[in-house]
Amino acid sequence: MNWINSLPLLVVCSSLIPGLIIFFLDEKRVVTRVALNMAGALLKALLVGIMLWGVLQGHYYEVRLELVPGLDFVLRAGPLAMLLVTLSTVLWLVTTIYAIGYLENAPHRSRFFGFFSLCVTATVGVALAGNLITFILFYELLTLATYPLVVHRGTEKARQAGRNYLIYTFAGGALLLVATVWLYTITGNLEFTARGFLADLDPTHHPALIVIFVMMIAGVGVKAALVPFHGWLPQAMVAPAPVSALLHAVAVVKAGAFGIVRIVYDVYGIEFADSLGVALPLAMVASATIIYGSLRALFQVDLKRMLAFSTVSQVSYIALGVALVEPVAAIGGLVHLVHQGIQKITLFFCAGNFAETLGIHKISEMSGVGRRMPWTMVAFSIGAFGMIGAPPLTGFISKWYLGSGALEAGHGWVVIVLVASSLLNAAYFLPVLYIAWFGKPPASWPEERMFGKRETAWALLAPPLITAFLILAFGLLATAPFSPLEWVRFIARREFAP
Amino acid sequence: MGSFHSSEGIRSVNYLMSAFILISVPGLPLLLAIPGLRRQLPWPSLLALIPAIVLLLIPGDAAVELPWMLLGDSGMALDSVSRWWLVMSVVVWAVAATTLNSGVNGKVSQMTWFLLSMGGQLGAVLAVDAVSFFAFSSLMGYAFFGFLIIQESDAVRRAGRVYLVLLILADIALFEALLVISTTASDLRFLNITAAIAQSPDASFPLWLALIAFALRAGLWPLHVWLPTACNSARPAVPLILWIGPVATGLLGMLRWLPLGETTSTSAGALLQIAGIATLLYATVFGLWRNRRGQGIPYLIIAATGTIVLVFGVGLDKPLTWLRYASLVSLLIVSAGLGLTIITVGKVWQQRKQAHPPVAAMPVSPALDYFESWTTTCLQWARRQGLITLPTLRTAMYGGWRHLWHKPSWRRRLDSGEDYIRRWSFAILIVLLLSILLTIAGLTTGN
Repeated sequence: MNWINSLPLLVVCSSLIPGLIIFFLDEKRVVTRVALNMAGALLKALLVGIMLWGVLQGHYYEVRLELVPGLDFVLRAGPLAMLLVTLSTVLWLVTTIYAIGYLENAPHRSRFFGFFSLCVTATVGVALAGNLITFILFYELLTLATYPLVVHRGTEKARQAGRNYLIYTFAGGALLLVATVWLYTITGNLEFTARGFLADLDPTHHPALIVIFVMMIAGVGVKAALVPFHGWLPQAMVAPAPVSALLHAVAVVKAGAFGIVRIVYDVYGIEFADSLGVALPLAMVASATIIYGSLRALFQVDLKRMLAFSTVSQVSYIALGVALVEPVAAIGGLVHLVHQGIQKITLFFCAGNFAETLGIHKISEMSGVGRRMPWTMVAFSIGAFGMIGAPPLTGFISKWYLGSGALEAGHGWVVIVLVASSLLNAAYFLPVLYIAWFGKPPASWPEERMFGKRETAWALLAPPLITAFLILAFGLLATAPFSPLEWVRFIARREFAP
Repeated sequence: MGSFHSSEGIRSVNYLMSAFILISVPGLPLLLAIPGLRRQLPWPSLLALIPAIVLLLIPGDAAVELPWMLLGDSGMALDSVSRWWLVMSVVVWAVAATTLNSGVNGKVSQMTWFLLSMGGQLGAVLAVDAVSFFAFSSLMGYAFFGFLIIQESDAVRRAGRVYLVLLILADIALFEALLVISTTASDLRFLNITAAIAQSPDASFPLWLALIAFALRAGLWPLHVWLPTACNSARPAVPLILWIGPVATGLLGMLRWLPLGETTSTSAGALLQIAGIATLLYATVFGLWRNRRGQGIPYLIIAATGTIVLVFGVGLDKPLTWLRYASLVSLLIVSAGLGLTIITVGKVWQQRKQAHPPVAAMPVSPALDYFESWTTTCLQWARRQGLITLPTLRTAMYGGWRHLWHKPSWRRRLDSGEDYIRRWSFAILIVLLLSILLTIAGLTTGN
């Protein structure tokens, strides 16, 4: 067996096998569980690093297994896949450290970490999927793996949130499956192909292709939290902070957004999608979601709910960039896949720290928290300013490319959407920062836990500081050779090359 | 050894040294802003200025390219213009640091905001491209806000919030200006931006946006409303940092962006001249009035701003005049800064001599507030003249407006809308699926 060519399968298995083992561990086997988690995360990072290097050198990794005659299970590592795989791997590593600290002494840790690992397995599978069938397999596995994480706390509110989550995501999955089957009956092909494989079809199929596009986008749009399919996301905030971080930054919403990218680029092709007339409506839906999500975030009093609606808004930047038929905008959308991930995970880590250390859940309870937890608040501030788009942070880079691309494509209205979104982001983030840094701290916090001289546990403090550092580094050094921006430029050149 | 002493080796060493010093000028204050790093250091706010002082002592210009920074094409340089600004910056920051350390508040967080402002402002002075300037000036702006409102009175905090809103609007306007100009300029270096503005009639829109942005930052009349109250702070450092930070950086931005001496822009030039004269007149009248109550400093700042903007306006209107006297402009700005510094030092010395602790200036009298708030004045005059039309509609709008902006009611409305969708999500899904199936059936039958 050629181990090098099997790297995609090994990457998937590096979290699958530890996850399956963890299910059977006793709750008291803390060291074994931590060792398995960290070993899986580090092994995955190593394998992804090797694969990344290979893809940079032009190597080609593919694993193909026949499911039924005519339908294969395909894992393929290309530049676009490696973008999401690398993001998921790096953020899974920091989230694992965070979750170990967050869930210390909590019940059902083996169950939690088992599904945690399955979740990342599914996300990586979604990224590496080489055709629509493999994509759908991992897409649905992601739903099944994340549901137990959403309902982990076992309260009535958590179960209700889980039920809604299942309804939305299964409905989306069903739509996606029906559309895929329909597409297969027309084309007999489901392979992701650079620039799509539908442009050469007979024009009589075009009306059907439009309907299929709508169904597919609606199907993946549930996980991508496109309005009006976003309702599950704010409710899912009842889950523990590591789950929220995972859902919003690493796994679920990214899988949805990535699905949109795959459908537009590797099923339809951006130029064919534009000729069908579906690109502009997608851009409009994305724009509406951006504004709606920001407006909803403005009126929230719960910190995690505010961040949830902020996610609804920010993930649509990816769809917007992809839908504008322009390389620079595509760069903005794709690089925001990474930037939004690290920004949002930073904010959720910090929200988890406030909840776990001081019992803070509402924004009004954050008065003066900057003095009690300065480093966490520094990380939160960096994440918040990143979301607003202040230079030299990552959000500025994303918005710059989106705005430039929109102007070059002749869609000046997108710049207005970006301006409005930035204003709204400032409107809901700056008051939080103001109250945290300059407000008077209360006489006592809702539920304070002491960690000696430290503001909180190391396992809770280190991950947001690492991701905040990445926000600063990827923004400040955006044009450095190994930055996400340069990788995305490489992808865009391939997609838009004449 | 031979290669070390070769001209190539010497150039490399010189370049590295210049790069190190240039980057250290904003870098050291930013580093010292971390409390743990400066805890054991004496006078960190003055130590942070050492790289800037060393840079000023180096004869000739220095430059460093930073191709990996931000959007690429970034760099820092010390040229004839930035040298004067750096001189003023070093003097003003040094004096501000001295008054800060000897003042009432020497708290950790105040020093952090101070050093962040310093790092941002010094970086903006040395930036050669618009994006780096934008990044550094934004850092300076937000850090100044933090410095301004820390442990201050409600009035100063309110002024700080107004400043913050104006800063956000300025940042957004500047971002849009950069986006638009990037479509015509070859890159975002200031030289190419001014050339693009000078050559292309399409570039007047980003020019106006940039002017609005810098006017918002610099507190040009009538956008100055926060400035007098902000200067009411008990800390003598505040007016100094206000001048060297938001105001001077806004003026520096105008200087960098405007195609002064390159082209004639009559409309922009005329507007700047009018704005400058209006600002100067306003500052003169009210400055004289308020100086009797010890509140003259903010009006000095506003007057200096007005004078400099007037000069920019003349430069745009008459490029030949600008070319003849351009070198004096930097001297004018530096003189204004040094003059303000001297006045502040005098004030602090006088307070110490009289053994009076620094106190906030006298509260603004209601009569002056009334007169100064020109919009309120106009409205109240109109009301007195009976010019308010459709009173019923106005009252209804006002009542509705207030109600509309009441956040909990908006939240309730939107939450109930989403609850409705959630309750009926299954039904909506079934209807959607049925519609799609019918569409498929219809299309298939039609085919």
